[in-house]
Amino acid sequence: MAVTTFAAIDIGSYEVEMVIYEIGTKGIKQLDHVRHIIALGSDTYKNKSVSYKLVDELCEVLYDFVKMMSTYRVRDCRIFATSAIRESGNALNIIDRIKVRTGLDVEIFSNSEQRLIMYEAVASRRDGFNSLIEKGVAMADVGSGSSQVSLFDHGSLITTQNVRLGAMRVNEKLEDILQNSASDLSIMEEYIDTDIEVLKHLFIKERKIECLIAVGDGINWFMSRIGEDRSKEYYTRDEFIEIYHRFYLMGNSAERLGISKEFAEVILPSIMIYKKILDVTDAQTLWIPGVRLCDGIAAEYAVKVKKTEVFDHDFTADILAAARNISKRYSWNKEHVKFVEKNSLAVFDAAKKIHGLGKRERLLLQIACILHDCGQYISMLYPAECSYNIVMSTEIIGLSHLEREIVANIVKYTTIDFDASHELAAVMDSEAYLTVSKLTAIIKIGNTLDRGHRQKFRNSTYEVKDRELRITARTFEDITIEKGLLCGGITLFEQVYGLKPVIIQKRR
Amino acid sequence: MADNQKEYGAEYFFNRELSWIEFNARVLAEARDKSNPLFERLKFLSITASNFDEFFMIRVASLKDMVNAGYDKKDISGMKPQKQLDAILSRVHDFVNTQYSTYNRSLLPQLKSSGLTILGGFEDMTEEQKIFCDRYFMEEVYPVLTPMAVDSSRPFPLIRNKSLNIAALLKKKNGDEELEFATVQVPQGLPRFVELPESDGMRCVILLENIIEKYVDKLFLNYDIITYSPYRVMRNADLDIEEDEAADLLKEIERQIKKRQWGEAIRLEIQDKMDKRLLKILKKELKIEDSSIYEINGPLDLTFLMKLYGLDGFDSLKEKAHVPQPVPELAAGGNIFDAIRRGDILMHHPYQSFEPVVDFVRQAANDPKVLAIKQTLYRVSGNSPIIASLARAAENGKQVSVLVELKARFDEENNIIWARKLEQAGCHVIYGLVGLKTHCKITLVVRREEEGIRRYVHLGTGNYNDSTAKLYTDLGMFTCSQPIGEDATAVFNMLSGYSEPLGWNRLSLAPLWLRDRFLYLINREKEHALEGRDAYIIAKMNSLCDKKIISALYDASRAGVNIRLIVRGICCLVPGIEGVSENIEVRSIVGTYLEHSRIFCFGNNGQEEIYMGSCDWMPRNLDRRVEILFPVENRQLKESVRHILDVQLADNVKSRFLGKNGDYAKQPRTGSKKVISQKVFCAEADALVKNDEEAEGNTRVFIPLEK
Repeated sequence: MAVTTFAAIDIGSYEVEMVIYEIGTKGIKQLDHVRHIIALGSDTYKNKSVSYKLVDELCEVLYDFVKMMSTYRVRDCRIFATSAIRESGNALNIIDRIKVRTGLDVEIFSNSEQRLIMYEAVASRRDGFNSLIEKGVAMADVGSGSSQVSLFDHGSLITTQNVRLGAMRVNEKLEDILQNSASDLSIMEEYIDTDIEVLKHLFIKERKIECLIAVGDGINWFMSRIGEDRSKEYYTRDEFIEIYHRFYLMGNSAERLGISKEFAEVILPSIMIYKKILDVTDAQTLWIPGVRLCDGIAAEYAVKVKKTEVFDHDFTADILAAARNISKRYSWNKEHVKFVEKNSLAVFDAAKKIHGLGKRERLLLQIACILHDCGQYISMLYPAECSYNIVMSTEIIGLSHLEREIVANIVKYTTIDFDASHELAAVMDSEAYLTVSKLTAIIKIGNTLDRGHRQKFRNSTYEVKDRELRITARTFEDITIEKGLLCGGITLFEQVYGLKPVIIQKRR
Repeated sequence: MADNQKEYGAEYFFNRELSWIEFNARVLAEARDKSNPLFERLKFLSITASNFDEFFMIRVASLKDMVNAGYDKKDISGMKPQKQLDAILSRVHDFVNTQYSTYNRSLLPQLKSSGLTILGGFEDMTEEQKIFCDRYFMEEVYPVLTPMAVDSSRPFPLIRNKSLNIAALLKKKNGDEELEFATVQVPQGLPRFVELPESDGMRCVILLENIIEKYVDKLFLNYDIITYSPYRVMRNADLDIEEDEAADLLKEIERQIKKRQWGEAIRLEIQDKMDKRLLKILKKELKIEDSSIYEINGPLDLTFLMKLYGLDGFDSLKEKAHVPQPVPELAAGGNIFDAIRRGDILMHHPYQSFEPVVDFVRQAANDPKVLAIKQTLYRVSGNSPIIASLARAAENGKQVSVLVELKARFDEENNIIWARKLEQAGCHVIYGLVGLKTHCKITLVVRREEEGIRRYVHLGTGNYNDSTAKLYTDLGMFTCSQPIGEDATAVFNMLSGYSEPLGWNRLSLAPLWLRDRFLYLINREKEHALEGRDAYIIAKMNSLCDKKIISALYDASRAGVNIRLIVRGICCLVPGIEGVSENIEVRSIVGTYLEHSRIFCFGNNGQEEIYMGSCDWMPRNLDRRVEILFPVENRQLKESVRHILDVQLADNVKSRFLGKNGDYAKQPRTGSKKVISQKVFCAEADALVKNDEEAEGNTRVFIPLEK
């Protein structure tokens, strides 16, 4: 049969939902969508763990979902949990309970994985997305624990930032202060404003933003219920503000909206966050594509398993653009960075048969090159540690947590001895450890070749021959330092690959 | 004109109970209408009797509860409960008198001249008939009677709701002078009347209570019978289930059914000339006041006339039964899913057969491609073929979800039995929703086909009940339209307890969005009228009593919208008020079949929109029930539905028009041809099949065998 049915289950902070899709070569069709309200997040944000009563309820709902899946003869499924479970102290136990009671394997998404998937969901709406991001665009993904703001220009993602402003978190934080009075709304606004101001000054700055893409469950619900036309996706700034005010005046009343108390509690802060982001971006239009995380999971599945054309967008370019943007902030020597990137990648490509790594690792190497000296911005004494920390605390949408750790370690060991790093083998699994060591060996060569920061090896070629990595440099400059550093002792490259780097100078 | 809806005062609304009595008066008028065949008139009279039973048990009972509880909120017509009760009771006494004068003066004599006598006693019997009765009593009746005497050691027994009883005063033979009270229930398990051997070509029947009366001395051997007389008690049966407290709805309803028999007595019917002493005892024991006692000149409980209608013979005195016709698009034996894929299909019951709906579920149960069947069931007949199919589907490994509405009036006992049956077969049975009755009629079949999942949906205006489908006029539609299929899935997800979907494609659901949807549609017509465009509304339903909707209709009428309503039963809207409702016309059609379909047609500035659904314009439909309104989108189907409305509007025989003082009157027919809409529909259903057969005949080709 040409079509496959696929189910995605999203265990969110205030609801768990399942979407069943039919995926064919032509595209993705939604078959069924069920939602069950369950406030896992309020347990987590308040008590740091989810109570067993709720876990029990969750298991029952999931068990019901399993039965529904069998009705549709679902071939494959992915079940994932976001911040409510991720930040819960008993996350592992919850996952285990679910496995035992329903047979389902739950993945816990890191924030950046989660945001990437939402981003993929938006990108799968090719009609709107591709043309929109040619101009300056911001995307706000307001979740229950935090929000993600990403900026696009010229067709790719420039930068992205996670803000600890989530609909549910705002409520939990302010719970003791709010007293159901009229001033509640302004207290909430003030609380949100603080974070939004930081976002504005450090991050959005004077960028020209023409459109705000608003995604997240809150806004989807909001527009379908409060807006007049459910199928409408584009709003002008004024239209949105008008609807917002109408809603604002209604107050936070579950009864009026015909929704549960749990849901009503998150909807207002959530919409307020969008509104505040809109305020600082100055965008004149708003696009609400109405997509959800499950859509992104289905899109990923369609691409990977069914080879369906889902995106036109190049996500690798985004990751690189984001990395370059970080580098712009911290690196003082652009030329050097460019040079290290170029030469390291050339070594990587020349040694393809030897290292056996793929496209994804090449990308990691490239990111590591771009970010390799960012730590100097903080400290010239301990650049390695600082670089590591910068990478680890910077969101790079599209990289998994493990990948981020790999990049951070490569960056760290670019400038210090890898030998001193037995600690690394203890904290990483062997595959990741190998990747770090292999890529670090390469970047060290790239970096060493520009030790003097004078780009002497501008026109060089690389070749693996007779247990040697032959670096042919066409330059008239004195390359004694580089030669000495690279060919004198035993390099990491030699340890890892068993190849000796050799520099051949051709003065032509 | 103000944009906001105007507030209309009490004078702009009729009281719903009185309007309901008016509806029954129209049914009674059919019983009195000499142009109706005699046996049809019996049926109409019987309907009025059973209608009143229900009316007392539910409506009068709840008004009494309100009075007892000291609740005195006015209704939309400005009447407090006590005032309503007084008005109802005085109207009902008149009504009962008309019922029995119709029976005694009109129907009985005509039956006699048509060759059927209903004997009032043994006086006019032949010897042969008497011997027949002797034997019938001793063999069939006597063994099941339970006479009960009342004295100091034996308390007054429970007299069951709606049961017919005979009360007697006894005196001990050779004993003291003291009189004793005794009562015996006329057994419900035996037929209410017995046909006796013919006398001189005259067929005779006698009522069971008359036979028992004759032999009452056989029941109390040591006593002299001083007097005896039949009586009947009606009790408060307004089920008021505390849903929030009832952990298991099913158990609660079982408990309530048993409790119902204990309800407060709210009506006592006695045969006139009952002995004063007997009446005094009954009054005291049943704690009933004079205004609730009905002295009746004739047999109590006229519902037996429905059974009398069933006597064979007398065909010339009955309306010729119309056989429900097959639906041409759905050839017998054909695959129903293939047929639906060719296009949406409309069915008009009972002119057209209900069989395709049964067949839909039956085929789905056996079709290997079908993954799931989901259905709402409400008032289903006991041995329904639909239930059997659903059970088989579950046994065939399909996922079957059934929402069983246990709160359908008076049918609870019936519902619980088959709900259990379905559960045993492996169906997922949902017993209603807390606080809401599920009144929508929807069936969803999910099928896995070559191109992927396809959903087939049946939406109807009537219940999935194959026996009422023969008597109620209803419309049903089959479709496999994707947007409706998605909505149908969402409906069942909601009924299973999941959150409402973010949006609906085509369907509108009560209690969440339906009233707003109707108000929007009505106001849209108003806007068109205000801007000088042609604007109209045609709506057909069973009852109209929602204040907001009526107010919107008044506003629309004031703006110049032409509004024609076909409301069979209760109508609280007052038509023809100057400056308010001059543009509104209300008619009611009472015919052989019970008008039951709900159709809503809006002009929409030339882009006419037609909707059908399970709901009336009543607060209970819009606020406390799950109802579905669905659009008819297929052009051909739309024309057919519009045609149904047009024929009903052209009916000049069975239509009665509501006047501004609340009475209904036929309009004089001026020369034009008689149009009886229900007859037109019968003829049309016949013609459809005939045309289809002819068309098929033309293309029929013999195929020679080839070697």
